[in-house]
Amino acid sequence: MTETTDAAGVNGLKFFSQMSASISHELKNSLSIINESAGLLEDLSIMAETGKPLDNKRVQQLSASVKRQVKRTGGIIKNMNRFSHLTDDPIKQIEVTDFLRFIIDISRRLTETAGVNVVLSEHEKPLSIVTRPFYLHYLLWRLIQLSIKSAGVTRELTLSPRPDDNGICIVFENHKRFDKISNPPAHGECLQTLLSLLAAKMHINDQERETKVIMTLFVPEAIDLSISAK
Amino acid sequence: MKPIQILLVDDEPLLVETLAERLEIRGISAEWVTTGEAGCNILNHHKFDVAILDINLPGMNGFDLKTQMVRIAPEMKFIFITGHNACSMEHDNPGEKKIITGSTACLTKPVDITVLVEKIREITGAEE
Repeated sequence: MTETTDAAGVNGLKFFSQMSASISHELKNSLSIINESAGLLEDLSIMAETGKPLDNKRVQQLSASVKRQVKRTGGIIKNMNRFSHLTDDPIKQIEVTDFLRFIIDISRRLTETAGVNVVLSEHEKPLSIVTRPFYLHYLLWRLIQLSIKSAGVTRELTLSPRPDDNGICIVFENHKRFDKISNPPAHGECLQTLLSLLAAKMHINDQERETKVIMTLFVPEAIDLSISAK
Repeated sequence: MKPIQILLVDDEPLLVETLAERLEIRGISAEWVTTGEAGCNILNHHKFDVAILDINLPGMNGFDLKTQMVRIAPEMKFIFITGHNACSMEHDNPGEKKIITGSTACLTKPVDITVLVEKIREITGAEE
């Protein structure tokens, strides 16, 4: 292991923990709704035994609510499973639009808690690259976090994947809140490590007079295998 | 005797709606909202004994909401509910640790209605 991969590994583990905690939180919310719905059904049943007429419409609503939450929980677990398997193959071919959709979906609770709606502007054709999926997910999440910090009044961040001369580029676009995007050292150091591992480049267009911040991430079509990370 | 007045704030409408109904069945009057902003607004024209706040609210977390609410309703008591396992909350941002102190209680989701009712009666000093 090199110093770079050590640093990426330690930070990657923190990222893995943060996402896992968020997923568990979502599962708890879903379980809570199931718990309260079941509890209310029990309450209504006990009340019916004492002579109060059973509200059939309410019973049906609660049953439907439980079914919806079971479906929601299934979706969360499916995402959790996909996230867990990101480390199976250090290097793998991925389809970028589908990958971004997955990242936005699995991060939704965190971005919504930050009060920002993340939107995907899909490209009409498949955009396949060979990359390190786990580190790409981590890098994209750090860039989403960075964008959220500067997100302005519209509180909307748009991600647009596009083909590029050497691979693909992903454009992060949002109305800004600050005069200039903040780039604290913790972000800077971590981003550099991830960019290096992915052989990627980043460009930030943040002109003071403009109302938008546009960050562009350039990722090669295939990763250079000479950069070691196992 | 006037029933205990509860305000529930959680961004999961199905959860707060059902929880409010279950509290009503137990003789506790409960209103619910799904945002911190709506929670502060309702305090301007309605008095509550206890506010039950989710910690991870969109836009404004439960701790910041409590600070704002205390300014509007200084006598009101608070109960936090959270999906985290521990109530010595490490927020989603690592390092942003908040401690629950004073007369504020904290319960973990899914909440046991019996425990919640006991906690409400305990912090309001109400007898069953």
